[in-house]
Amino acid sequence: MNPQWTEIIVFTLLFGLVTVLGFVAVRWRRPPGTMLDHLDEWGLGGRKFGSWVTWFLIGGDLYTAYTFVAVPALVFGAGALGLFALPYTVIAYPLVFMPLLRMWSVSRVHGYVTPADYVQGRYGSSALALMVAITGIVATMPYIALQLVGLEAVIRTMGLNGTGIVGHLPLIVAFVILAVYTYQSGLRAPALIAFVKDGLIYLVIAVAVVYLPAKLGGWGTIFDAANTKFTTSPAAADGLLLNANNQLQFATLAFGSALALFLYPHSVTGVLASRGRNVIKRNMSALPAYSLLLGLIALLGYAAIAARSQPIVNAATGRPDSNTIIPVLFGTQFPAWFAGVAFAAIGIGALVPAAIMSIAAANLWTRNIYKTYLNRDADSRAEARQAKLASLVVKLGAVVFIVFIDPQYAIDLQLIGGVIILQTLPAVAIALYTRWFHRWGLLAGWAAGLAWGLSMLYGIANPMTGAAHFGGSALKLATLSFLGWKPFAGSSIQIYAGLIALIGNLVVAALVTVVLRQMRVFNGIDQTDPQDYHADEDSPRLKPVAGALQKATSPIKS
Amino acid sequence: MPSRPSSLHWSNWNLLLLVPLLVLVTPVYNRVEPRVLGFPFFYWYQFLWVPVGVICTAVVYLKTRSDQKTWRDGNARGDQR
Repeated sequence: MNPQWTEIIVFTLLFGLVTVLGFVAVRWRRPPGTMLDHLDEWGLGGRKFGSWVTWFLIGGDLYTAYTFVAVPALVFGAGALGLFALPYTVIAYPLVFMPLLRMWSVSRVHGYVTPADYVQGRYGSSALALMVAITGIVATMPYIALQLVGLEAVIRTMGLNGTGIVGHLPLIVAFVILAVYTYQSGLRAPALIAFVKDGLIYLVIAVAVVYLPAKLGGWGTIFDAANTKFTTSPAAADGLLLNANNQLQFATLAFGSALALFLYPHSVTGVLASRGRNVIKRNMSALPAYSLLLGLIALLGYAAIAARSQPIVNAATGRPDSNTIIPVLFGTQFPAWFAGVAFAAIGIGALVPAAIMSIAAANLWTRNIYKTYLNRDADSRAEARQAKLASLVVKLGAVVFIVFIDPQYAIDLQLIGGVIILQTLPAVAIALYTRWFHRWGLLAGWAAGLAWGLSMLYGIANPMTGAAHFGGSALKLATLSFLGWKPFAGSSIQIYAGLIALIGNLVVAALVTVVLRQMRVFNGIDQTDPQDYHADEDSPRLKPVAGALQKATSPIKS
Repeated sequence: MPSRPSSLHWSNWNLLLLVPLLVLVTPVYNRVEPRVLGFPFFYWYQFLWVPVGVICTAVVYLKTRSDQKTWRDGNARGDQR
């Protein structure tokens, strides 16, 4: 396929616009004299974003390029199962409504920047905080790599589908630019760019859901085309509806994904950057607007079936890349200039989450590994410097990942990432409500959940792709084994493995807690006070946002 | 810890946050008919839950917003656990 110049020019212009925004963001909403060399400023944008900025920031953060590319690709391939993304985001915000308020308040009172900071303060355990930090970083890395998969799907669809290292060049250039302005402007860069990203995405989807059905003969025709494809395909699991075996999988996948969503460090970063509790409450009500969007995007997978779109063969791997299906749909159905806008929407959609994720991972590294273990005397200036460098390393790692490793592994690792981040739920989310669990119980539960989750994922094959291991997150209940006892032998019903691992985690954590409590083992010192969890933006308890007030001293106590 | 005030400030309105979980009951809507605007029931039913979720969280926000003022730290009434 030849380079499609109209698309490339429109894409490049819009990309240039957000690059300028990324650099000027350094001055955005920053009072004169404020230092940027403090994590409150660089890593959390001054902790004072209002409702609108937060809505764009969190929306731009959670709905990633991968979502826009992979969810419709799953619907294209499997049908109804891919629509789990809709109930997932319907239940996510009500579920996290109250815990997030507590997390915001306690973090604001004590100056916590990461979820691991909170665990450290709650349990006085560097080991537990390290566990949360490492889990967060490991789960985030493939997520960043997946943003590159989304970006590359667009670039290759525009005809820049080269082989080898040259084929990756446009991607590398885009990411270097992103890395430089994130280094300079911190969280303000993605916050400002998120306005452009979300604006473009809304525009493209609004046009797509009206224009494409009109062109393809209406939604009824589109669903019929999908139904014809699924009924004639040899695969048993696909279809316009769920079947007897994957209904439980659908529900547990939606539920587990919703629980995991705000355990990811980049989601917490977006929440902690907001000004107050009412900002978060308003956003929990307003963010589902994106769910509507996500559901409509998912259905574009069916539009691609009706339009007979075929995925592009990735010249670097030599295999058809199903993630190109939506870019191909846009490229073949839209006029060239609007296809360029649509590609830019997806491409910029990759930049915002990638920037926030790298900032979140950098914050974790700096606060909970570097400062705790490598340089205990680091002041706020040294912390900020370290975090900026770490954000570069994280992005570099993601690029290396994509260039030298098959993108398919990034998808596998993302799947694993979802399962392992879920294992921090007891230590982070349940700890917000109760300190009943013993800190070593939490650590033991985490290790057990992790080991069990990974072993289950390892054993899942995918006949469609020929993978013998890590072929998905759908576990057949028949293979579920408790030390050799198989209570569901013979059943062909499937379930989300992450949720099973979390249950194992909780059981182990509870058992160990009971034993340690009987033995009266010391459970660490709780730095937090019950009232901390309700402090709002006008409370005298709040720790001053340090960059604005203090200069030479180190305002963060750890 | 009877001497410390509870860190939970409970309002029954919070129960509304559990309502959206009903969307996980797949047997209710795993069917094609009745269609609306060409959308099989499975699809438009789930879209309908988006506004339901918004209403639930919005009501909880409005109903707990004023509470926040009286629950402000410093003069919070401590529910005993």
